[in-house]
Amino acid sequence: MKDRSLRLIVICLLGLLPIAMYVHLMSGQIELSYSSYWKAIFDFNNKDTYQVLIREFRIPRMMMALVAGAGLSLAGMLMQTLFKNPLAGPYVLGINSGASLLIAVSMMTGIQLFQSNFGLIGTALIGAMGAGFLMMFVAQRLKSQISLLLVGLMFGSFTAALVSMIESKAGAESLKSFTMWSMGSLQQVTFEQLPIILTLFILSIASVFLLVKPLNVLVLGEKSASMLGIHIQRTRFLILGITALLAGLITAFCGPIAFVGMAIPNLTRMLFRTSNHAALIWGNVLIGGLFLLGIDSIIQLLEGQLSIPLNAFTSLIGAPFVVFLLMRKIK
Amino acid sequence: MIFLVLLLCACQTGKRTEKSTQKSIANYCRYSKYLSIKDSLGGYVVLIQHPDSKHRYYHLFIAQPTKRLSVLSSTHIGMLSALHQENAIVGISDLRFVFSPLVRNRTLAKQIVQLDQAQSEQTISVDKLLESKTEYVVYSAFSGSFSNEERLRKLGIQCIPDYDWREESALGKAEWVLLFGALTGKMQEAKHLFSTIEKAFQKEKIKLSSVHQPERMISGNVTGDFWYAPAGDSYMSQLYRESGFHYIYQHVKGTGSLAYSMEKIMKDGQQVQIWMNPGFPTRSAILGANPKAKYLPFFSNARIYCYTHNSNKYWELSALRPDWLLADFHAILTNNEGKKRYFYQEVR
Repeated sequence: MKDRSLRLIVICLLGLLPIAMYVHLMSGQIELSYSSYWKAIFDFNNKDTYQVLIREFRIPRMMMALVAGAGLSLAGMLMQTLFKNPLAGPYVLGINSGASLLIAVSMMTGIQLFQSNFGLIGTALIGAMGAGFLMMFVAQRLKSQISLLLVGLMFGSFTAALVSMIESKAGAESLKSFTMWSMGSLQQVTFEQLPIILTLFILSIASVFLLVKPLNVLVLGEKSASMLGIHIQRTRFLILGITALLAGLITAFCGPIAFVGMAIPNLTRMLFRTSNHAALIWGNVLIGGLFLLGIDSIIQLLEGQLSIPLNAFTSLIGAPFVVFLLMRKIK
Repeated sequence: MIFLVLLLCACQTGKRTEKSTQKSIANYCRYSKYLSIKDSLGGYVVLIQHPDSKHRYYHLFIAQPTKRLSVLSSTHIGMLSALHQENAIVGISDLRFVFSPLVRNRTLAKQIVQLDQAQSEQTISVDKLLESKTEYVVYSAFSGSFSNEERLRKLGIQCIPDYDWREESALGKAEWVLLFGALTGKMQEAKHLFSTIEKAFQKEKIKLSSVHQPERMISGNVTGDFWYAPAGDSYMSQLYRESGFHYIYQHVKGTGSLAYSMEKIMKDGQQVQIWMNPGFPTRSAILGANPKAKYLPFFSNARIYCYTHNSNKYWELSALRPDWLLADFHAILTNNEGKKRYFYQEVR
């Protein structure tokens, strides 16, 4: 696709973003005035229930939907480029499973890797990183793309089995906490946690932009990329590091969110019809963010009639999409 | 007579069949929607109706008391303990969820086997069940069915569904103790116990009717994205209503759970004075699981009560002892710190 068309799509998506954010903010059960929003941000009074609702519930939830959708899509794009596999993604390749496993260990066995408030992020990061390197090690020894996905799914099943074993020995309280975390939620993040989350998120996106050239060349294959002067090992390490940071950050705060990281990069590629990662990064961030904002707005609008957990909703949409992609691939 | 013989043949196979009624013989159960026990030929004919189908019944003829029972729910252990029949238990689900000291000790001494440490009735160990020489398995069918039923029956083990958790009335739930009385040959003791509970329950209700200032109350807590609370027609909501609480969702239709957003809870919970069953024993534990609980209008102002100081005791005995639950509710409503509490403690 021509650069002009790509720019136009990005501008359209950028235009849609504030609308989606506005719709998300207004999707709650209670009607709130604009002045409440203004005060909640610039003149906060913690005694006012409506201001608390906006500042502590609506804004963090909206920001987290944006960050999780954009972050997981970006992580998925990186995985798909690194493994040269359109079906790769942090969920399918077990990156989320690695994070979940270490969080299960941390929550239910008392073995805590970090003691600080952000211990959960650190734990999830190490888990995601470990799973990422394991997948990379396996990928170097497998020629078939489908085999790699199967290994990812097997790794997911293996970690799920380990988590079940830990659960069977866990105390009632820690089991309850882990179950609550594993249901996934965009509501756990507080207003105070937003700056650190947004900082890490923006840093990750900026780092991916620095990798545009190696990513564009990696599409040609590692051999060609190496001949064109790309330091393969360092690039791989950086890609995995950023993916682990994004997937770990989102998994730690929101629990597992399925299929976004696999489906959105493919959708973006279909829409953008380019292998230029500068455009694809924009596309994934915007479409991913818009997608999760939309899904969560629907969840909020349906509240009262139907209670659908976030992870269930993304799976409902994502699973048929994977089948569609597989069928296209087989044809 | 021919009809009776035919019925007993059907009962001994334990199969679910169409309902056959015996109007002439009195049913021991007066409150339960799903359980019926009648005398027959020196034993008991038990009829258990499936809660989701009026046409599905489970028949059983109990001719001899058993000394070898496996029970898959805490409530079953509580009912057997109340009848002092812990020695009849040979299999339980998971020791972590047992309160009864005798059952705990017998499990630790390997006299009782643990059948399922994966917390699902569907995954119980059939090998261990056979090793324990169980004659009956009492299950709850929380997930709708009990997949091992047919297989175990072929091995000569009777499987009995216990739908006490589907009962909508407190006494209907407690009346399932009669099933364990019939199984262990302690029917008279079970009848006496139930009659004591029934009287105590009515007495507590009268006491509660004199509490003139019902306090606004909310129940439940957040799991994932939703706040789960008992619906208006559920067992718990009815018990709250009978106790004199002004449960804020008591008029919302439904027998299961309500799932509401935190926003709705923030709005509806403005005047709440009592928060029941947050699921944690301390305020810091509530905050640990959900840091945003501090913004709930009732988190700092309301009195919070839960059974989680001893969850196993609650799950084992609360279904059998609704009178104890009401006694606790009375103490909570009157804010009587000195009164003995059976299950509930203030969350501080």
